[in-house]
Amino acid sequence: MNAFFFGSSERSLFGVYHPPQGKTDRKAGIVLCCPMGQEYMRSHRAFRQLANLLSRKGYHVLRFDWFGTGDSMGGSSEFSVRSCLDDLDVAIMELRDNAELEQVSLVGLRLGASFAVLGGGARSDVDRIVLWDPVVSGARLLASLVGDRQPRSDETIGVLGFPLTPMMRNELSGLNLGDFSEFSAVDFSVFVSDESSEYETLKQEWRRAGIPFEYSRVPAAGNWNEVDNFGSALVPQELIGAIVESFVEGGAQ
Amino acid sequence: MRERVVRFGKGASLVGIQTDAVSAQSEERPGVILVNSGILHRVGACRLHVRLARALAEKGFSTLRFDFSGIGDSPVRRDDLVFEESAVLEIQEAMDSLGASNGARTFVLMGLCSGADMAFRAAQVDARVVGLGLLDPWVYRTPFYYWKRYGPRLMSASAWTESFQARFGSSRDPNSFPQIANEENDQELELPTYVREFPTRQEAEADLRRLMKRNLQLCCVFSGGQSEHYNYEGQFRSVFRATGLEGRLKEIFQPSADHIFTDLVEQEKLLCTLLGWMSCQFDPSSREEMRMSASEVRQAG
Repeated sequence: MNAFFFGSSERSLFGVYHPPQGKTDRKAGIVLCCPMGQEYMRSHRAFRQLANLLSRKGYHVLRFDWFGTGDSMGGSSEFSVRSCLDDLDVAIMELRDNAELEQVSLVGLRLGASFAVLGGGARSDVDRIVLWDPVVSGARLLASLVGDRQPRSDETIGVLGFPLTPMMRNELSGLNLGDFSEFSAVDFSVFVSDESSEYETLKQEWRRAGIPFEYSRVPAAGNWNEVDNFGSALVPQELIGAIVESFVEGGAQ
Repeated sequence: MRERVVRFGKGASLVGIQTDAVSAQSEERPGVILVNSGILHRVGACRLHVRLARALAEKGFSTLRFDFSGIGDSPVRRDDLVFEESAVLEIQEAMDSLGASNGARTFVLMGLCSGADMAFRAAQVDARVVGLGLLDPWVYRTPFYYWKRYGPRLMSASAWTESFQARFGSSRDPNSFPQIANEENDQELELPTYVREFPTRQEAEADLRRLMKRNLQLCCVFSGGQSEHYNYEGQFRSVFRATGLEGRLKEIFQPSADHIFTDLVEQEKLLCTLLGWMSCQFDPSSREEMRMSASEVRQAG
Protein backbone atom coordinates (compact mmCIF):
# COMPACT_ATOMS: atom_id res chain seq x y z
CA MET A 1 0.00 0.00 0.00
CA ASN A 2 1.06 3.54 -0.60
CA ALA A 3 -0.03 6.33 1.75
CA PHE A 4 0.15 9.80 0.27
CA PHE A 5 -1.41 13.24 0.02
CA PHE A 6 -3.14 14.29 -3.17
CA GLY A 7 -5.26 17.12 -4.53
CA SER A 8 -4.41 20.81 -4.38
CA SER A 9 -2.02 22.14 -1.75
CA GLU A 10 -4.82 24.17 -0.12
CA ARG A 11 -7.15 21.19 0.06
CA SER A 12 -4.70 18.36 0.38
CA LEU A 13 -6.39 14.99 0.97
CA PHE A 14 -4.86 11.96 2.66
CA GLY A 15 -5.24 8.70 0.79
CA VAL A 16 -3.99 5.14 0.80
CA TYR A 17 -3.63 3.36 -2.52
CA HIS A 18 -3.73 -0.43 -2.47
CA PRO A 19 -2.46 -1.84 -5.77
CA PRO A 20 -3.56 -5.31 -6.89
CA GLN A 21 -1.79 -8.03 -4.94
CA GLY A 22 -0.60 -11.26 -6.48
CA LYS A 23 -0.73 -12.17 -10.13
CA THR A 24 -4.13 -10.79 -11.07
CA ASP A 25 -4.67 -7.22 -12.17
CA ARG A 26 -8.32 -6.84 -13.06
CA LYS A 27 -7.72 -3.38 -14.50
CA ALA A 28 -10.54 -2.20 -12.32
CA GLY A 29 -10.53 0.35 -9.52
CA ILE A 30 -12.60 0.98 -6.43
CA VAL A 31 -12.75 4.20 -4.40
CA LEU A 32 -13.80 3.73 -0.79
CA CYS A 33 -15.88 6.52 0.77
CA CYS A 34 -15.78 6.65 4.55
CA PRO A 35 -18.40 8.05 6.93
CA MET A 36 -18.03 11.09 9.21
CA GLY A 37 -17.40 11.79 12.90
CA GLN A 38 -17.17 8.85 15.28
CA GLU A 39 -18.43 6.62 12.49
CA TYR A 40 -15.22 7.42 10.65
CA MET A 41 -13.13 6.53 13.72
CA ARG A 42 -15.07 3.32 14.25
CA SER A 43 -14.84 2.17 10.64
CA HIS A 44 -11.17 2.89 9.90
CA ARG A 45 -10.11 -0.68 10.54
CA ALA A 46 -13.00 -2.11 8.52
CA PHE A 47 -11.99 0.05 5.56
CA ARG A 48 -8.40 -1.09 5.78
CA GLN A 49 -9.55 -4.67 5.74
CA LEU A 50 -11.95 -4.11 2.87
CA ALA A 51 -9.18 -2.44 0.87
CA ASN A 52 -6.76 -5.29 1.62
CA LEU A 53 -9.23 -7.97 0.57
CA LEU A 54 -10.21 -6.19 -2.63
CA SER A 55 -6.58 -5.58 -3.60
CA ARG A 56 -5.87 -9.28 -3.05
CA LYS A 57 -8.63 -10.02 -5.54
CA GLY A 58 -6.84 -7.91 -8.12
CA TYR A 59 -8.47 -4.50 -7.73
CA HIS A 60 -6.83 -1.11 -7.51
CA VAL A 61 -8.26 0.48 -4.36
CA LEU A 62 -8.09 4.01 -3.03
CA ARG A 63 -9.39 4.93 0.42
CA PHE A 64 -9.13 8.51 1.53
CA ASP A 65 -10.15 11.04 4.17
CA TRP A 66 -12.59 13.83 3.27
CA PHE A 67 -11.42 17.41 3.71
CA GLY A 68 -11.71 18.27 7.40
CA THR A 69 -11.54 14.64 8.50
CA GLY A 70 -8.79 12.20 9.45
CA ASP A 71 -5.36 13.22 8.20
CA SER A 72 -6.65 15.43 5.39
CA MET A 73 -6.27 19.17 5.57
CA GLY A 74 -8.96 21.30 7.10
CA GLY A 75 -10.54 21.63 10.50
CA SER A 76 -13.36 19.34 11.58
CA SER A 77 -15.81 22.23 11.40
CA GLU A 78 -14.94 22.74 7.71
CA PHE A 79 -16.44 19.39 6.75
CA SER A 80 -19.39 19.86 4.42
CA VAL A 81 -21.47 17.85 1.98
CA ARG A 82 -20.56 20.18 -0.87
CA SER A 83 -16.83 19.86 -0.23
CA CYS A 84 -17.15 16.08 0.05
CA LEU A 85 -18.65 15.92 -3.43
CA ASP A 86 -15.66 17.94 -4.70
CA ASP A 87 -13.31 15.60 -2.85
CA LEU A 88 -14.95 12.58 -4.42
CA ASP A 89 -14.33 14.02 -7.85
CA VAL A 90 -10.65 14.54 -7.01
CA ALA A 91 -10.33 11.02 -5.56
CA ILE A 92 -11.93 9.36 -8.59
CA MET A 93 -9.57 11.20 -10.93
CA GLU A 94 -6.61 10.35 -8.71
CA LEU A 95 -7.31 6.63 -8.88
CA ARG A 96 -8.07 6.75 -12.58
CA ASP A 97 -4.78 8.55 -13.27
CA ASN A 98 -2.73 6.39 -10.93
CA ALA A 99 -4.04 3.09 -12.22
CA GLU A 100 -4.72 4.24 -15.78
CA LEU A 101 -8.39 3.32 -15.66
CA GLU A 102 -11.35 4.58 -17.67
CA GLN A 103 -13.91 3.76 -15.01
CA VAL A 104 -14.01 3.02 -11.29
CA SER A 105 -16.52 1.71 -8.77
CA LEU A 106 -17.39 3.32 -5.45
CA VAL A 107 -18.08 1.74 -2.07
CA GLY A 108 -19.49 4.03 0.59
CA LEU A 109 -20.43 3.45 4.20
CA ARG A 110 -23.18 5.50 5.93
CA LEU A 111 -22.79 9.12 4.77
CA GLY A 112 -19.97 7.95 2.52
CA ALA A 113 -22.58 5.92 0.65
CA SER A 114 -24.81 8.98 0.32
CA PHE A 115 -21.92 11.02 -1.07
CA ALA A 116 -21.02 8.21 -3.47
CA VAL A 117 -24.55 8.25 -4.91
CA LEU A 118 -24.87 12.03 -5.05
CA GLY A 119 -21.38 12.56 -6.44
CA GLY A 120 -20.94 9.45 -8.54
CA GLY A 121 -24.41 8.30 -9.58
CA ALA A 122 -24.55 10.40 -12.72
CA ARG A 123 -20.91 10.06 -13.78
CA SER A 124 -19.97 8.19 -16.89
CA ASP A 125 -16.65 7.11 -15.34
CA VAL A 126 -18.39 5.31 -12.45
CA ASP A 127 -19.73 1.86 -13.28
CA ARG A 128 -20.90 0.58 -9.91
CA ILE A 129 -21.80 2.01 -6.52
CA VAL A 130 -22.07 -0.11 -3.40
CA LEU A 131 -24.05 1.46 -0.57
CA TRP A 132 -23.18 -0.05 2.82
CA ASP A 133 -25.62 0.79 5.64
CA PRO A 134 -26.36 4.05 3.79
CA VAL A 135 -27.76 7.20 5.33
CA VAL A 136 -30.95 7.58 3.30
CA SER A 137 -32.38 10.61 5.05
CA GLY A 138 -30.03 13.32 6.28
CA ALA A 139 -32.88 14.78 8.33
CA ARG A 140 -33.32 11.50 10.14
CA LEU A 141 -29.59 11.23 10.80
CA LEU A 142 -29.60 14.80 12.04
CA ALA A 143 -32.45 14.09 14.43
CA SER A 144 -30.53 11.17 15.91
CA LEU A 145 -27.36 13.25 16.26
CA VAL A 146 -28.97 16.31 17.77
CA GLY A 147 -31.41 14.44 20.00
CA ASP A 148 -33.52 16.71 22.16
CA ARG A 149 -31.08 19.60 22.01
CA GLN A 150 -32.36 22.73 20.34
CA PRO A 151 -29.31 24.57 19.02
CA ARG A 152 -29.56 28.17 17.90
CA SER A 153 -29.44 28.56 14.13
CA ASP A 154 -25.88 29.92 14.34
CA GLU A 155 -24.63 27.50 16.97
CA THR A 156 -22.09 24.74 16.44
CA ILE A 157 -22.78 21.80 18.69
CA GLY A 158 -20.62 18.82 19.54
CA VAL A 159 -21.75 15.33 18.60
CA LEU A 160 -19.70 12.49 20.05
CA GLY A 161 -16.52 14.54 19.91
CA PHE A 162 -16.98 16.27 16.56
CA PRO A 163 -18.51 19.62 15.66
CA LEU A 164 -21.84 19.80 13.87
CA THR A 165 -22.00 23.25 12.34
CA PRO A 166 -25.10 25.15 11.19
CA MET A 167 -23.94 24.60 7.61
CA MET A 168 -23.66 20.84 8.11
CA ARG A 169 -27.10 20.73 9.71
CA ASN A 170 -28.53 22.70 6.85
CA GLU A 171 -26.92 20.44 4.25
CA LEU A 172 -27.87 17.24 6.03
CA SER A 173 -31.48 18.28 6.43
CA GLY A 174 -31.77 18.51 2.64
CA LEU A 175 -30.08 15.19 1.89
CA ASN A 176 -32.42 12.45 0.78
CA LEU A 177 -31.35 9.48 -1.34
CA GLY A 178 -35.00 8.75 -2.04
CA ASP A 179 -35.11 11.92 -4.12
CA PHE A 180 -32.11 10.90 -6.19
CA SER A 181 -33.09 10.70 -9.83
CA GLU A 182 -30.20 11.75 -12.07
CA PHE A 183 -28.38 8.52 -12.70
CA SER A 184 -26.37 7.07 -15.54
CA ALA A 185 -25.55 3.47 -16.39
CA VAL A 186 -24.40 2.67 -12.88
CA ASP A 187 -25.10 -0.59 -11.09
CA PHE A 188 -26.30 0.13 -7.59
CA SER A 189 -25.95 -2.46 -4.83
CA VAL A 190 -27.24 -1.88 -1.33
CA PHE A 191 -25.86 -3.94 1.56
CA VAL A 192 -27.46 -3.48 4.96
CA SER A 193 -26.62 -5.09 8.26
CA ASP A 194 -30.21 -4.83 9.44
CA GLU A 195 -33.58 -3.80 8.05
CA SER A 196 -35.06 -0.41 8.80
CA SER A 197 -37.99 1.70 7.65
CA GLU A 198 -35.44 4.00 6.02
CA TYR A 199 -34.31 1.22 3.70
CA GLU A 200 -37.90 0.29 2.90
CA THR A 201 -38.47 3.89 1.83
CA LEU A 202 -35.35 3.84 -0.31
CA LYS A 203 -36.43 0.66 -2.08
CA GLN A 204 -39.87 2.06 -2.80
CA GLU A 205 -38.60 5.40 -4.02
CA TRP A 206 -35.93 3.92 -6.26
CA ARG A 207 -38.32 1.38 -7.77
CA ARG A 208 -40.75 4.20 -8.45
CA ALA A 209 -37.96 6.21 -10.10
CA GLY A 210 -36.86 3.23 -12.16
CA ILE A 211 -33.41 3.07 -10.63
CA PRO A 212 -32.05 -0.47 -10.99
CA PHE A 213 -30.46 -1.81 -7.82
CA GLU A 214 -29.71 -4.97 -5.92
CA TYR A 215 -30.50 -5.19 -2.25
CA SER A 216 -28.93 -7.57 0.27
CA ARG A 217 -29.28 -7.91 3.97
CA VAL A 218 -26.22 -9.45 5.59
CA PRO A 219 -26.77 -9.76 9.34
CA ALA A 220 -23.78 -8.13 11.02
CA ALA A 221 -22.86 -5.49 13.55
CA GLY A 222 -24.02 -2.10 12.29
CA ASN A 223 -24.00 0.17 15.32
CA TRP A 224 -21.64 2.69 13.75
CA ASN A 225 -22.57 5.81 15.62
CA GLU A 226 -21.44 4.86 19.08
CA VAL A 227 -18.54 5.81 21.24
CA ASP A 228 -17.02 4.29 24.34
CA ASN A 229 -13.88 4.83 26.35
CA PHE A 230 -11.75 3.22 23.70
CA GLY A 231 -13.31 4.52 20.50
CA SER A 232 -13.45 0.85 19.64
CA ALA A 233 -13.62 -0.42 16.11
CA LEU A 234 -16.30 -2.34 14.29
CA VAL A 235 -15.25 -4.89 11.69
CA PRO A 236 -18.30 -6.76 10.39
CA GLN A 237 -16.57 -9.61 8.63
CA GLU A 238 -19.65 -11.09 7.03
CA LEU A 239 -20.69 -7.89 5.36
CA ILE A 240 -17.19 -6.99 4.22
CA GLY A 241 -16.87 -10.47 2.77
CA ALA A 242 -20.20 -10.13 0.96
CA ILE A 243 -19.14 -6.85 -0.65
CA VAL A 244 -15.84 -8.36 -1.81
CA GLU A 245 -17.61 -11.41 -3.21
CA SER A 246 -20.11 -9.22 -5.06
CA PHE A 247 -17.24 -7.60 -6.92
CA VAL A 248 -15.52 -10.87 -7.69
CA GLU A 249 -18.70 -12.56 -8.91
CA GLY A 250 -20.06 -9.74 -10.99
CA GLY A 251 -17.13 -7.46 -11.56
CA ALA A 252 -14.40 -6.98 -14.09
CA GLN A 253 -12.26 -10.00 -14.86
CA MET B 1 1.33 24.13 7.19
CA ARG B 2 3.31 21.26 5.74
CA GLU B 3 2.35 17.67 6.41
CA ARG B 4 3.77 14.61 4.77
CA VAL B 5 3.54 10.87 5.03
CA VAL B 6 6.62 9.21 6.48
CA ARG B 7 7.51 5.52 6.50
CA PHE B 8 10.08 4.49 9.05
CA GLY B 9 11.23 1.69 11.32
CA LYS B 10 12.46 -1.72 10.32
CA GLY B 11 11.62 -2.22 6.67
CA ALA B 12 10.01 1.24 6.65
CA SER B 13 6.85 -0.47 7.78
CA LEU B 14 5.50 2.11 10.21
CA VAL B 15 3.20 4.80 8.84
CA GLY B 16 3.10 8.30 10.25
CA ILE B 17 2.32 11.90 9.39
CA GLN B 18 5.00 14.47 10.06
CA THR B 19 3.83 18.03 10.61
CA ASP B 20 6.68 20.48 10.20
CA ALA B 21 7.00 23.55 12.37
CA VAL B 22 5.71 26.58 10.48
CA SER B 23 8.88 28.50 11.27
CA ALA B 24 12.17 26.68 10.87
CA GLN B 25 12.58 24.59 13.99
CA SER B 26 15.74 25.24 15.96
CA GLU B 27 17.58 22.20 17.24
CA GLU B 28 17.02 23.49 20.76
CA ARG B 29 13.34 22.75 20.55
CA PRO B 30 12.19 19.20 21.09
CA GLY B 31 10.25 17.34 18.46
CA VAL B 32 6.93 15.93 19.58
CA ILE B 33 5.81 12.32 19.14
CA LEU B 34 2.09 11.61 19.45
CA VAL B 35 1.49 8.05 20.60
CA ASN B 36 -1.53 5.87 19.73
CA SER B 37 -4.06 5.23 22.44
CA GLY B 38 -5.68 1.83 22.38
CA ILE B 39 -6.62 0.80 18.87
CA LEU B 40 -7.39 4.33 17.70
CA HIS B 41 -5.29 5.17 14.69
CA ARG B 42 -2.87 8.07 14.62
CA VAL B 43 -5.46 10.86 14.23
CA GLY B 44 -6.21 10.32 17.91
CA ALA B 45 -9.46 10.28 19.84
CA CYS B 46 -11.88 12.74 18.24
CA ARG B 47 -9.03 13.77 15.88
CA LEU B 48 -7.18 15.41 18.74
CA HIS B 49 -3.72 14.39 17.52
CA VAL B 50 -4.32 16.15 14.21
CA ARG B 51 -5.41 19.35 15.91
CA LEU B 52 -2.59 19.15 18.41
CA ALA B 53 0.02 18.53 15.71
CA ARG B 54 -1.12 21.50 13.65
CA ALA B 55 -1.35 23.82 16.66
CA LEU B 56 2.13 22.77 17.80
CA ALA B 57 3.48 23.44 14.31
CA GLU B 58 2.12 26.98 14.56
CA LYS B 59 4.07 27.37 17.78
CA GLY B 60 7.27 26.12 16.19
CA PHE B 61 7.30 22.44 17.15
CA SER B 62 7.46 19.65 14.59
CA THR B 63 5.47 16.53 15.38
CA LEU B 64 5.14 12.98 14.22
CA ARG B 65 1.90 11.09 14.78
CA PHE B 66 2.16 7.45 13.80
CA ASP B 67 0.61 4.03 14.08
CA PHE B 68 2.15 1.26 16.14
CA SER B 69 2.49 -1.95 14.18
CA GLY B 70 -0.87 -3.68 13.96
CA ILE B 71 -2.79 -0.45 14.51
CA GLY B 72 -4.12 1.99 11.91
CA ASP B 73 -2.15 1.67 8.70
CA SER B 74 0.99 0.01 10.06
CA PRO B 75 1.23 -3.74 9.40
CA VAL B 76 1.58 -6.35 12.11
CA ARG B 77 5.11 -7.19 13.29
CA ARG B 78 6.41 -10.62 12.52
CA ASP B 79 8.75 -11.00 15.49
CA ASP B 80 8.12 -12.25 19.00
CA LEU B 81 8.17 -8.92 20.83
CA VAL B 82 5.24 -8.30 23.15
CA PHE B 83 3.37 -5.03 22.67
CA GLU B 84 5.07 -3.26 25.59
CA GLU B 85 8.47 -3.97 24.01
CA SER B 86 7.60 -3.23 20.40
CA ALA B 87 5.78 -0.02 21.33
CA VAL B 88 8.85 1.38 23.09
CA LEU B 89 11.08 0.35 20.20
CA GLU B 90 8.72 1.99 17.71
CA ILE B 91 8.53 5.22 19.71
CA GLN B 92 12.33 5.30 19.57
CA GLU B 93 12.20 4.72 15.83
CA ALA B 94 9.74 7.60 15.55
CA MET B 95 12.20 9.83 17.39
CA ASP B 96 14.99 8.69 15.06
CA SER B 97 12.83 9.53 12.05
CA LEU B 98 11.76 12.98 13.21
CA GLY B 99 15.27 13.80 14.44
CA ALA B 100 16.84 12.79 11.14
CA SER B 101 14.34 14.94 9.30
CA ASN B 102 14.46 18.16 11.28
CA GLY B 103 17.51 17.92 13.50
CA ALA B 104 15.66 17.62 16.80
CA ARG B 105 17.88 16.02 19.43
CA THR B 106 15.32 15.93 22.21
CA PHE B 107 11.68 14.92 22.27
CA VAL B 108 8.41 15.27 24.10
CA LEU B 109 6.09 12.27 24.03
CA MET B 110 2.34 12.66 24.39
CA GLY B 111 -0.32 10.01 24.72
CA LEU B 112 -3.66 9.08 26.23
CA CYS B 113 -4.25 6.03 28.44
CA SER B 114 -2.20 3.16 26.95
CA GLY B 115 -0.42 5.83 24.90
CA ALA B 116 0.59 7.51 28.16
CA ASP B 117 1.79 4.17 29.52
CA MET B 118 3.97 3.52 26.47
CA ALA B 119 5.31 7.08 26.45
CA PHE B 120 6.34 6.68 30.07
CA ARG B 121 8.07 3.38 29.32
CA ALA B 122 9.96 4.89 26.41
CA ALA B 123 11.11 7.80 28.56
CA GLN B 124 12.62 5.30 30.98
CA VAL B 125 14.97 3.89 28.40
CA ASP B 126 15.71 6.85 26.17
CA ALA B 127 17.44 9.95 27.49
CA ARG B 128 16.37 11.98 24.48
CA VAL B 129 12.93 12.28 26.07
CA VAL B 130 12.81 15.59 27.95
CA GLY B 131 9.09 15.90 28.44
CA LEU B 132 5.94 13.80 28.79
CA GLY B 133 2.40 14.98 28.16
CA LEU B 134 0.31 12.22 29.72
CA LEU B 135 -3.47 12.08 29.49
CA ASP B 136 -5.11 9.82 32.06
CA PRO B 137 -1.88 8.11 33.09
CA TRP B 138 -1.79 5.63 35.96
CA VAL B 139 -2.25 7.13 39.40
CA TYR B 140 -3.03 5.82 42.86
CA ARG B 141 -5.79 6.58 45.32
CA THR B 142 -5.04 8.60 48.42
CA PRO B 143 -6.95 8.95 51.72
CA PHE B 144 -8.32 12.23 50.40
CA TYR B 145 -9.50 10.47 47.24
CA TYR B 146 -11.56 8.12 49.38
CA TRP B 147 -12.83 10.95 51.53
CA LYS B 148 -13.88 12.93 48.48
CA ARG B 149 -15.53 9.95 46.90
CA TYR B 150 -17.22 8.41 49.89
CA GLY B 151 -17.33 11.22 52.46
CA PRO B 152 -20.64 12.67 51.35
CA ARG B 153 -22.12 9.21 51.19
CA LEU B 154 -20.89 8.35 54.66
CA MET B 155 -23.10 11.15 55.93
CA SER B 156 -26.06 9.59 54.19
CA ALA B 157 -27.81 6.85 56.13
CA SER B 158 -29.19 5.24 53.01
CA ALA B 159 -25.72 4.75 51.61
CA TRP B 160 -24.91 2.36 54.45
CA THR B 161 -27.45 -0.06 53.16
CA GLU B 162 -25.49 -0.53 49.94
CA SER B 163 -22.58 -2.79 49.47
CA PHE B 164 -19.33 -1.05 50.33
CA GLN B 165 -16.83 -3.69 49.56
CA ALA B 166 -17.62 -3.91 45.87
CA ARG B 167 -16.60 -0.32 45.35
CA PHE B 168 -12.94 -0.95 46.00
CA GLY B 169 -11.75 -2.54 42.78
CA SER B 170 -8.29 -3.73 41.95
CA SER B 171 -5.75 -1.52 40.22
CA ARG B 172 -6.32 -3.38 36.97
CA ASP B 173 -7.77 -0.85 34.60
CA PRO B 174 -10.67 -1.68 32.32
CA ASN B 175 -9.01 0.36 29.58
CA SER B 176 -7.30 -2.57 27.98
CA PHE B 177 -7.42 -2.94 24.24
CA PRO B 178 -11.00 -3.88 23.51
CA GLN B 179 -12.22 -6.81 21.53
CA ILE B 180 -13.29 -5.95 18.03
CA ALA B 181 -16.98 -6.53 17.43
CA ASN B 182 -16.32 -9.52 15.24
CA GLU B 183 -13.35 -11.78 15.32
CA GLU B 184 -10.85 -10.87 12.65
CA ASN B 185 -9.44 -13.78 10.77
CA ASP B 186 -7.01 -11.78 8.69
CA GLN B 187 -3.45 -12.19 9.91
CA GLU B 188 -2.52 -8.77 8.57
CA LEU B 189 -5.09 -7.25 10.85
CA GLU B 190 -4.19 -8.96 14.09
CA LEU B 191 -4.39 -6.58 17.00
CA PRO B 192 -1.54 -6.25 19.45
CA THR B 193 -2.47 -7.47 22.90
CA TYR B 194 -2.31 -5.07 25.81
CA VAL B 195 -3.99 -5.30 29.18
CA ARG B 196 -3.60 -2.12 31.15
CA GLU B 197 -2.30 -2.89 34.60
CA PHE B 198 -0.84 -0.17 36.76
CA PRO B 199 2.70 -0.80 38.00
CA THR B 200 3.02 -1.12 41.75
CA ARG B 201 3.24 2.21 43.49
CA GLN B 202 6.82 1.46 44.51
CA GLU B 203 7.81 0.72 40.92
CA ALA B 204 6.08 3.84 39.68
CA GLU B 205 7.84 5.97 42.31
CA ALA B 206 11.23 4.55 41.44
CA ASP B 207 10.68 5.10 37.71
CA LEU B 208 9.43 8.63 38.24
CA ARG B 209 12.34 9.47 40.53
CA ARG B 210 14.77 8.42 37.80
CA LEU B 211 13.02 10.70 35.31
CA MET B 212 13.02 13.63 37.71
CA LYS B 213 16.76 13.25 38.20
CA ARG B 214 17.05 13.78 34.44
CA ASN B 215 15.07 16.99 34.88
CA LEU B 216 12.27 15.67 32.69
CA GLN B 217 9.20 17.92 32.51
CA LEU B 218 5.83 16.33 33.10
CA CYS B 219 2.33 17.46 32.22
CA CYS B 220 -0.47 15.21 33.45
CA VAL B 221 -4.07 15.84 32.48
CA PHE B 222 -6.77 13.76 34.10
CA SER B 223 -10.32 13.44 32.85
CA GLY B 224 -13.43 12.65 34.80
CA GLY B 225 -13.44 9.40 32.86
CA GLN B 226 -10.82 7.97 35.20
CA SER B 227 -12.74 8.79 38.35
CA GLU B 228 -12.30 5.29 39.72
CA HIS B 229 -8.67 6.23 40.26
CA TYR B 230 -8.51 10.02 40.39
CA ASN B 231 -10.89 12.69 41.65
CA TYR B 232 -9.04 15.88 42.67
CA GLU B 233 -6.37 18.11 41.18
CA GLY B 234 -3.15 17.58 43.05
CA GLN B 235 -3.67 13.86 43.65
CA PHE B 236 -0.80 12.84 41.37
CA ARG B 237 1.48 15.39 43.04
CA SER B 238 0.42 14.14 46.43
CA VAL B 239 1.09 10.50 45.56
CA PHE B 240 4.52 11.15 44.09
CA ARG B 241 5.65 14.04 46.28
CA ALA B 242 8.78 12.16 47.30
CA THR B 243 10.05 11.72 43.75
CA GLY B 244 11.35 15.26 43.34
CA LEU B 245 8.70 16.38 40.87
CA GLU B 246 8.17 19.81 42.43
CA GLY B 247 8.76 22.45 39.78
CA ARG B 248 8.66 19.82 37.04
CA LEU B 249 5.00 18.85 37.11
CA LYS B 250 1.93 20.52 35.68
CA GLU B 251 -1.17 18.69 36.82
CA ILE B 252 -4.62 19.49 35.51
CA PHE B 253 -7.97 17.88 36.29
CA GLN B 254 -10.85 18.19 33.84
CA PRO B 255 -13.66 16.54 35.81
CA SER B 256 -16.28 17.26 33.15
CA ALA B 257 -14.30 15.54 30.42
CA ASP B 258 -14.79 11.88 29.58
CA HIS B 259 -11.86 9.57 28.90
CA ILE B 260 -11.58 10.43 25.20
CA PHE B 261 -12.52 14.11 25.54
CA THR B 262 -15.65 14.07 23.40
CA ASP B 263 -16.88 17.44 24.71
CA LEU B 264 -15.71 20.26 22.42
CA VAL B 265 -15.13 22.68 25.31
CA GLU B 266 -13.05 20.10 27.14
CA GLN B 267 -11.04 19.52 23.96
CA GLU B 268 -10.21 23.23 23.82
CA LYS B 269 -9.14 23.21 27.47
CA LEU B 270 -6.93 20.22 26.85
CA LEU B 271 -5.26 21.74 23.80
CA CYS B 272 -4.78 25.01 25.66
CA THR B 273 -3.11 23.18 28.56
CA LEU B 274 -0.74 21.19 26.36
CA LEU B 275 0.19 24.12 24.11
CA GLY B 276 0.73 26.43 27.06
CA TRP B 277 2.91 23.86 28.78
CA MET B 278 4.98 23.28 25.64
CA SER B 279 5.56 26.99 25.15
CA CYS B 280 6.38 27.56 28.78
CA GLN B 281 8.81 24.66 29.09
CA PHE B 282 10.34 24.27 25.66
CA ASP B 283 10.12 27.56 23.79
CA PRO B 284 13.17 29.69 24.65
CA SER B 285 11.60 32.84 23.16
CA SER B 286 8.44 32.36 25.19
CA ARG B 287 10.48 31.93 28.36
CA GLU B 288 12.44 35.07 27.54
CA GLU B 289 9.22 37.01 26.97
CA MET B 290 7.86 35.84 30.30
CA ARG B 291 11.10 36.79 32.05
CA MET B 292 10.97 40.22 30.46
CA SER B 293 7.34 40.83 31.34
CA ALA B 294 7.98 39.69 34.91
CA SER B 295 10.89 42.10 35.04
CA GLU B 296 8.67 44.90 33.66
CA VAL B 297 6.07 44.15 36.31
CA ARG B 298 8.72 44.36 39.01
CA GLN B 299 10.04 47.65 37.63
CA ALA B 300 6.53 49.07 37.33
CA GLY B 301 5.86 48.03 40.92
